[in-house]
Amino acid sequence: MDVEPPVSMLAEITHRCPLHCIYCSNPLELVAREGELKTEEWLDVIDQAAELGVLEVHFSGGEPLVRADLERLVARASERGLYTNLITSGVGLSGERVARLREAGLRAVQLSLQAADPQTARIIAGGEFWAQKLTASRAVREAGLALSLNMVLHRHNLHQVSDLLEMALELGAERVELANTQYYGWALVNRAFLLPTREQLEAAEAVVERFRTRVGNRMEILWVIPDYYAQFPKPCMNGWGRMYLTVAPDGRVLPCPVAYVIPDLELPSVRRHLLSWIWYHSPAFNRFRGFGWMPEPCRSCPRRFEDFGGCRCQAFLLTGHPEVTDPVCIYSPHRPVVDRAMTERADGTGWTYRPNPGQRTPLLGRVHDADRHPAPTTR
Amino acid sequence: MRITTNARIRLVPKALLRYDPVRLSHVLLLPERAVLLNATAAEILGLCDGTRTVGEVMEELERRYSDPQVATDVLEFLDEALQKGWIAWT
Repeated sequence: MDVEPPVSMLAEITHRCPLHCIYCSNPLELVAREGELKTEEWLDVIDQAAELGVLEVHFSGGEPLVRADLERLVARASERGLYTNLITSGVGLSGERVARLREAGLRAVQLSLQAADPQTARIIAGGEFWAQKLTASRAVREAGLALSLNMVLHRHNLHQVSDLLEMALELGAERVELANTQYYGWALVNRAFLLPTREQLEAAEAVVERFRTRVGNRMEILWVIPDYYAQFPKPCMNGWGRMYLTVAPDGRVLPCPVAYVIPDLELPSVRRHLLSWIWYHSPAFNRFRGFGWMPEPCRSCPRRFEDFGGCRCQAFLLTGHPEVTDPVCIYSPHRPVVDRAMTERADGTGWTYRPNPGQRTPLLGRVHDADRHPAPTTR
Repeated sequence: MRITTNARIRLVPKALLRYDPVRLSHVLLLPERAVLLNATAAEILGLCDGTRTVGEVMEELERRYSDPQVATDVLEFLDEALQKGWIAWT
């Protein structure tokens, strides 16, 4: 099969993060600080990626700003002609740090927001970060870098889409990503607390449409529906091992950022193999490449060229079999699993906060017991 | 906003235009987007450096290709590039 070089590398340089978002898609087994690749190892990964044909690097995590060597990594990527993007919570992104990163060659920043008001944001992120995010967004704009605001949507903030869009306009964002929660990692743990109602989704979508008409191309708005509500699966990663690769904090390389969950998928590591071998020859990257691995109903389905059978990780998480049709597909015999999940709803805020690596019991779950707010309801 | 020939244009600062030796093609890199360009498109965008007007870019391409038809194609392409946010007025 003809394999093209990778376009994009997601560099998850750490799993450490000051936030504890209940929708986090990081794996349940977080990599501890001691296990992280060292600066020299990351520099080598970046060199290899550039030679392999990677065109853009997204520095992410966890919170990439917790690593003091981020500037060096950005500088190396930039020297190698790679487009550099920072995906951040904004915590720790002072004007000075933005200036240093820009100096290093950083071009764009994706800043996460958990809600359109500080109180809801605090409940979702498990801590007080609002002011720091506002500081960060202004610093990014003042430095002249492209700013994208990303809000992961779910039952507790879908009613705020309008406020968020107004806020984005005011903050000078060029792009807003309204991505409904996909159920992986901590989001899957908390799914019953997060799943929205169809009415909520439709209301939010209508708001987005009206806003788009109003602002035209002044601000790009990306609206990603939750795939449980769709008839057909998302074209996950635009095909396995086709355009994207993710490097985990400890050097494991994944065809999809959440592919840790597939138990018999032996993840190759940059500590043991060259990135080019991993991309072209490793069993993990070839496992679901192309169309030959597909069982029915995907195998003969004309949609396979559009959606590539959907998401392998979701197929595994919901059915125990990574090779079957993504169960969100209406042609999947497993679709009832998704329909059932949509009826399993939990009220209140008894969810699990994403801990920090090494922390076995999420601290904030307890901290917040003492000062719980009622979960916001739909307006 | 439609394009006018006397306006100076430049590549937006967030964009990176370069040659990719792996794909043997010029690429335009933007946040969340990598566009493979054909040689002419890359040539046109390379001229959008803030010193030239749209009209001057058209003339330059006409000169290089000795083809008066090329100007229309250039205008069409630049209009599209403007709509897509690849270039902007200076």
